[in-house]
Amino acid sequence: MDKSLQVICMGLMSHFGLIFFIYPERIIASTQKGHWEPILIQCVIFILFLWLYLKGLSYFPKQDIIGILKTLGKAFSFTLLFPVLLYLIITTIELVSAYAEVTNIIFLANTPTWAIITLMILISTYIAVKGIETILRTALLIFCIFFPLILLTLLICFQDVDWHNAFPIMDTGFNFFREPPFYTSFFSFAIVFSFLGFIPKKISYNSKKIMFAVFFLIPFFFLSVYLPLLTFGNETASTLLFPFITTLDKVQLQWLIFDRATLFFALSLVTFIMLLTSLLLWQSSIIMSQYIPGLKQKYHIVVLSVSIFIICLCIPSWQETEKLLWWNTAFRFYILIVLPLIIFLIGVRRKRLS
Amino acid sequence: MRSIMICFKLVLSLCILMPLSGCWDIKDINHRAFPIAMGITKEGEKFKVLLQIPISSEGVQKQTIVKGTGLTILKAVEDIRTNMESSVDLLHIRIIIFDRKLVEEDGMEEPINTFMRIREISSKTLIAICDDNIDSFFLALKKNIEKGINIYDFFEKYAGWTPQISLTRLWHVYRALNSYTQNVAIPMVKSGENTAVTYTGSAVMKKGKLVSKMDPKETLLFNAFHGNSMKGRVEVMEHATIMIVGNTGFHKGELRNHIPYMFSTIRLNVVIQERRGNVSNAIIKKELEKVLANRFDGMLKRFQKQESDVFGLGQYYRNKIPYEELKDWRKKYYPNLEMKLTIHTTIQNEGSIKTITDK
Repeated sequence: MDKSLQVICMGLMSHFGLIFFIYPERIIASTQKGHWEPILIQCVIFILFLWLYLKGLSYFPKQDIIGILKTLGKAFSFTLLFPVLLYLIITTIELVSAYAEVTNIIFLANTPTWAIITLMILISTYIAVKGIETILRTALLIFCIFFPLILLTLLICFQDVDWHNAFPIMDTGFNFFREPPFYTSFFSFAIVFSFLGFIPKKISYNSKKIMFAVFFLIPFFFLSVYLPLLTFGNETASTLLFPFITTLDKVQLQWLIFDRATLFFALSLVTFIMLLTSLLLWQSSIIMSQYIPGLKQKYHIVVLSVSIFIICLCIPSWQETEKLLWWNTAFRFYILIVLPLIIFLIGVRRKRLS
Repeated sequence: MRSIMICFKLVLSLCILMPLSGCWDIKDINHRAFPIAMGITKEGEKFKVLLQIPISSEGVQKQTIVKGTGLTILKAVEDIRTNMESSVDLLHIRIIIFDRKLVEEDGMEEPINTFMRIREISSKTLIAICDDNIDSFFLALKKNIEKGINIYDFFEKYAGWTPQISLTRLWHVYRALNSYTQNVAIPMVKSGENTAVTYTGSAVMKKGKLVSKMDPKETLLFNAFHGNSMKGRVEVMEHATIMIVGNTGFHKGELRNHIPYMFSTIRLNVVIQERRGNVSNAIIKKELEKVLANRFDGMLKRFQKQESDVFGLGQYYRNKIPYEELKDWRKKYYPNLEMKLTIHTTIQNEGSIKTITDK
């Protein structure tokens, strides 16, 4: 059965969760003018390599990524998979600790971080143990509930937009290539669609539909940066830790039932992230079972989440989380660029051989 | 064995219900105080914070004013917290009133940054400046609120707001503190004789300090320039009283030889409501346009001298001046700005009385 819709919902949703918190701040920190340039460059890279990845996968209609890599030999496939596993685990740690911190900053000021981390990991572990089909089905459900809410919040953000703040629109220096925040902002692109290679082949999806869905995603990257930018101007937006959240905070609507629309927005995004975390746990458990084949998959997940929980507790502050984001950059480019390339090249080679 | 498992799962799911009972460190609503207005002044080195807290007991609205002092604003709030029997939540503060002396001497930068940093206070909170003694102002507020008058209604568009009042929120002020090309005007109030508050005009700010003032009539133009709806305003002139029912603004900036030129058009739709003597519509129109244009010119000259770009004219030059030089907009470019303001009025109608003027 064609499960494209579920797969697309999962992808879009996880991206929404990643876009609106850290991404705007990173982009605004990476350049002072012409913010569309870094975003556009990132989007082009993202789409290009996603296309390569999907193309590469389509050469192997009956295998998932682990099967594909195994054709190169066991030792080789292990070395290729190891950075992926590492990236998945580090990203999970980042996600959990960052979003626990965000929740703390935005709405649960009195709750200790460990309680939030426990909640996030508990729920995502539970979903992950249930398997990929459950994750995808939950994705569809949650997407239907929260997506209209997100559209509404985006719409009301246009309230105080001053288009003059988009200027200066050209940056001929391309200085953002020299800024670390530009590279860490790939965080919002890299991880999500890697799961396509891992899902078992009984869950079929249509690559064309996924590519269309990704094009639908592009405007949101621009919105997340440009809404704060147009409201506050570059000088002010660069002083904010969560520019988009602050933009949402200042929305003034008499007819809105809630005093702060932010709460509902942030909650829906945290839900998205929980599901993404469960997806990541599931993905890493699959790779883990290659290294330690004896153990059942659900025990892998439990062991992973317990260790992630302990590591998350050891991260004391927001600054450490940001450092982790930067250290992870090399792995991020591995999963964004190298992995699709490898899959694509193996695919091309096999096509030639047959 | 199976039934034991089911029992175990049941107990487990019941346990999950427990966290649903509430948030962390819950405090009952009866033990919380929600101030709605905050006043800030300085006594020597220390900040003094006044909070107006409504207490609803048996259907009767009552008010208390509590005061605290401290080296920082939050320390002063903490001071109040320690002395109160219930916990103080700043979540519902609707208006923050700064003492004029504080704004003139120390500036608002520090307090505004604090308010933006802590998420307890909404960035939508209104900001105003108190033009007389803040203690007596709050005392007067207390009396008035017992009559059912809230100060923030004065600023609400659906309640008491009129176009002569500038409407400034916390995030506006914060934006103006950081922006290269924009300043902010903050409404000034004092306690009135027979109304809760009297509006005395707007303070024109530069980097969080008060540098000039706008009277209410000038604020009207200021609002018109920004395209804020001016509906309902009555303009008194020598020959007539008119009501403005609609306004649009169109602005265009140009840069020639490093001198900014600004071409602005404000279109007003007016309705004539009172007439003195026999004057034609053309005269009324001309007079109105002249009065407004003169008023605008005088105002702009004054602000240019103070280097406070309260109209946000610099916004129109963001694409014309290199970003590195935009920093010096207020110093280098703004004082030389030439403004060409055209005001177009359309007399929409004259009410239900026909006018017959002698030719």
